[in-house]
Amino acid sequence: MRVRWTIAEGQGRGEDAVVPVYSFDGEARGSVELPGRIFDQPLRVDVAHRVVRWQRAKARKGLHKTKSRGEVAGSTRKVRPQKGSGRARVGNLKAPQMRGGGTAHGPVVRSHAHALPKKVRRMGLKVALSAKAAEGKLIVVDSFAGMEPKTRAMKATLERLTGDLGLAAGGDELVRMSARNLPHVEVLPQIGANVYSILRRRTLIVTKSGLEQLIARLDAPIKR
Amino acid sequence: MGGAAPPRDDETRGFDFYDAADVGVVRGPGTVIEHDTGGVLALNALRDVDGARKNRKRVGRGVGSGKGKTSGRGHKGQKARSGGGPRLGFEGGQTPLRLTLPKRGAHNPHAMTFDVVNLNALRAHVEAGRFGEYDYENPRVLTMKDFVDAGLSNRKIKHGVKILAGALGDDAEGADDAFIKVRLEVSRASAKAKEIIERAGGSVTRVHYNRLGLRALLQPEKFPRGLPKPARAPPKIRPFIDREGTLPAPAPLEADS
Repeated sequence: MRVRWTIAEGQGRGEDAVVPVYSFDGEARGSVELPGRIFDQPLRVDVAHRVVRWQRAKARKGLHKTKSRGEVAGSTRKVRPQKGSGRARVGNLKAPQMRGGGTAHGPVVRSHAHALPKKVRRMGLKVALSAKAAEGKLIVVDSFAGMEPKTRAMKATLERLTGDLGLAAGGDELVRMSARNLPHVEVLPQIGANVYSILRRRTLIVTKSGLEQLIARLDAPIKR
Repeated sequence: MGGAAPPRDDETRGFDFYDAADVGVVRGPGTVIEHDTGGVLALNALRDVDGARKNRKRVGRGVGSGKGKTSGRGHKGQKARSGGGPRLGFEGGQTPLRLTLPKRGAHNPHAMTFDVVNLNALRAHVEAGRFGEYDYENPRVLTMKDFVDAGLSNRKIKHGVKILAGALGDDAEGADDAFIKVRLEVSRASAKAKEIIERAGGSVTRVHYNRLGLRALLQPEKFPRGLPKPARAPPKIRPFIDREGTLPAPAPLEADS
């Protein structure tokens, strides 16, 4: 089934929204305000792109390597005399043009990380959160406390809450353990909320305290 | 004074500073989203602004690239080789210009550079709430740390802050009566600025900090083993100051409270 919807008129104007809060078993538990300065920002594709690119580059280990002519094992013997053989001069069997020789300018082990201004990183997170909010795929849960620490229970909970599986931020150790064998579910502490993980998953589930901390974190001035 | 500055439209400085759709990379309202494409911001649909990144120039990679044979370096000679060419300022062996002219000028190692703060800017920051809650009747003493925290002074100030009257000093007599009451501890203050502040019932104390003291004032968190002892002012500076700065600042008020 193909589901289509359009982004609501007025999205990105920075308007506060009120969303319901659920308990983990799906009962309504009041509501909470999503400040528009974080959850209703224009969906800047370029900013999201930059942050994701930065994250992915930073995560690369960069363990690619070929052997250069100095690293290929073998003799350093001169292949034949410089003069008198009637053939070309050859000094080294490991030169790049030789079969079995080293690679010229091959990949080396290096970091792929590059810089990205903190303001852009922060804006990216706001864009990602706004995207989830605009889709209505941001679900606030008051707490996971009291839930049976079983993957089966977690699966049922997530299906009830989302109709789908998503990323849950703000989870504690038990939540993480309960969800770690579920495919397509990622549990992160509040401080670990990041653009790539949010955009990768269909739904974002946040605990109420995680949401408060997240808002406080995104409102705090950027340390220089 | 030049012509009138363009009108500052406060709305253009706020959230609607750019029209998001003009950027061309915004999923704007009304965009149709297919659910199975991965949502509003699908990872496979992310892209940067056109022209945000420039392709690397690849030289020596064939005629078709346009930078093939000589790699854009022309034919032969020093500048065609690796290592670039003669050093900057070298004129082919002729005495270069910088050696033909005599030296002049001098460097004053004792010169002090102050970050300038005009009274108008100070008032604007106070009224904008940059100093937090401000008691206009009985104001707290503002130090240079407050200035930096409020974004009024650059955090890289070298020797301190000097208060100048700025545009307030150009006004006719009496026009500046309305200046707010402030108590300041800064490095220097112009006579005019001091007069304006004192007429409004405030005070300016010119305090001396050396570089270390200023650092301790501005970044006390960098001194986990305790703040240094404030330095005494050198004799040549004493005519320009009222007293040595204290650490921590401001000094407790004597008369009040």
